[in-house]
Amino acid sequence: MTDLLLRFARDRAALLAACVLAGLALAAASAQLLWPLDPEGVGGPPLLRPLVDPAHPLGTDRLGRDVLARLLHGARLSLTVAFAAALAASVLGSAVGLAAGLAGGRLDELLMRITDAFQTVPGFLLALAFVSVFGPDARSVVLAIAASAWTGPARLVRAEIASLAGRDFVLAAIVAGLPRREIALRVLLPNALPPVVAYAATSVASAVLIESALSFLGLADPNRASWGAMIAEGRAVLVSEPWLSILPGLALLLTVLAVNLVGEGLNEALAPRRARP
Amino acid sequence: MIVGGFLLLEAAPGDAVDAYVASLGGDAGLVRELRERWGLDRSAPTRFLLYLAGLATGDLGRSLAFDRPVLAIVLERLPITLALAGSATLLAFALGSGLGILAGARPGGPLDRLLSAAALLLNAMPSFWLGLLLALLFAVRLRWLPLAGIETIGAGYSGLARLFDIARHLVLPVLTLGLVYAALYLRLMRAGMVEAWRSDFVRAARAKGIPRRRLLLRHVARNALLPVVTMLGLQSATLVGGSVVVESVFAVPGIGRLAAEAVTQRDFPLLLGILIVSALLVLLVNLLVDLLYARIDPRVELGARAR
Repeated sequence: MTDLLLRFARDRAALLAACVLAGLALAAASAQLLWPLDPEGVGGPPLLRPLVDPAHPLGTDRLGRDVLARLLHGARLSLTVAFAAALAASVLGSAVGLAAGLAGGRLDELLMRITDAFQTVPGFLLALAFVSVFGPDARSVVLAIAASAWTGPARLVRAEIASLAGRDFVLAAIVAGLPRREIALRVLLPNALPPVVAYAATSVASAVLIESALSFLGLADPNRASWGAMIAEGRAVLVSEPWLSILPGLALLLTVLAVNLVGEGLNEALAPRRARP
Repeated sequence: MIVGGFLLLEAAPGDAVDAYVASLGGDAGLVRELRERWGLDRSAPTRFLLYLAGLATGDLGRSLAFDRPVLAIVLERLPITLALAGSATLLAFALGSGLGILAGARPGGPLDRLLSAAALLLNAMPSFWLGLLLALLFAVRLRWLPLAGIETIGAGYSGLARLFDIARHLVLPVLTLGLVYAALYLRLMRAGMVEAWRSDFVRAARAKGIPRRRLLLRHVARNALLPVVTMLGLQSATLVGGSVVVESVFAVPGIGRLAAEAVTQRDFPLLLGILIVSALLVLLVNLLVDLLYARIDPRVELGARAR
């Protein structure tokens, strides 16, 4: 574990990105303490430009709501939804992959065909369908994203299990008479997980983007500040007040960039044998 | 070689048919789920069977919002999305692999650093935001291109003039969608080339004294192209999702925007029809990519006479 952290820390960009991400998460978690203005309340004159009024350092939107407060609360929504969706997708995908890899035969075939089917249906359309059926609250957005993102981890775990199955230490566990359940959960699963962890980072990034796209299209809880919805609201005054759309976009860009860099760093740290570019 | 040919044969037609059947199964699951929602306020569970029966004859049901057959609406809008997604893919592939070759020619060099950083940034950009920025720059500030829509309303163009008008309207959406994927292909191409430079066959080719230029294009780049082509197929599903967003930004009347409308209008038959049609499209694209793959990779042969 320390070994892993050390290898990760050697990658400066990834380390910096991890700090940025931690900072974002901290700011999002302590939004009320950090900047106590109500993100939904009308706190000032409408369409105040950034860096004019110290009471609203990033200005206000068309309704006079504080942009900084909305950005911070948007970060909370974005990060929670993305991490929850990535976690749900990884757990579900790993379970399916483990079952398919262990069972083999008919069950394996069936599970993999289902995986195929999910991969053929465009994920974003599936998410749209989900949200339109279950309503646009944060929980259904998490489900919607997870519903299309679990196929990656499922394939990864299944492939890992297949390649691990013949290894000596697995055979040793079998010879030692460990119960099948033990072998599956204690021996195979932990060894199959590293690629899933690295993959989870990319699915966090895409979950951030999908969440923002859904809320940009108006398919998010209208009573909670979200970056995508802020960009959509800013469109109405895009020509005269472009920063209203630009600021939340920059927040999205920074978040996804940080997540991607952390993911790459993790990937390198978890697979040190692979050549570094 | 034998394994490659065998794998392709195993993968291409078998997978396509299996996935076809399975995708209908997956959609049927969705049908069932939707019906449970509907069943409360709408008709009997026989709807599901009726829908399946209709599907078998190519009938996708009626749209609630448009009060017209779903298939007719979808087919009407499909060409626009195909033009958009097709041109975006071409742009992304050309730009991505071209710049990827430049970046991968000298990994670690200044050009590589610049291009890699740009790709990293572009890769992290939400496409709708990029679209808005491009629209702000090219349509609002510079006034070079139209802001939205598919053609100038009331201009009364016909023939070539109309085609040109439509093309002008598609430039920004294509650019938006294409740039996002170009970044992906660039990174993939570059990574493949970095790997290829290290491989034994390149070292061997170098030892034989093959000129650098020829080595770069025929050996290194050609090998790095394979994962990019694979990705083309894999990305076709996300491309449909991407066009939902981009078509909404630029008010392009394709099936992506139709899907967004179907959702807001709770037009489930229409949404379902779009899901099925796009899944079929994705399968078709993947089949094409498999065929393309066989042309590029000398190891794979269709109808392999593998020994």
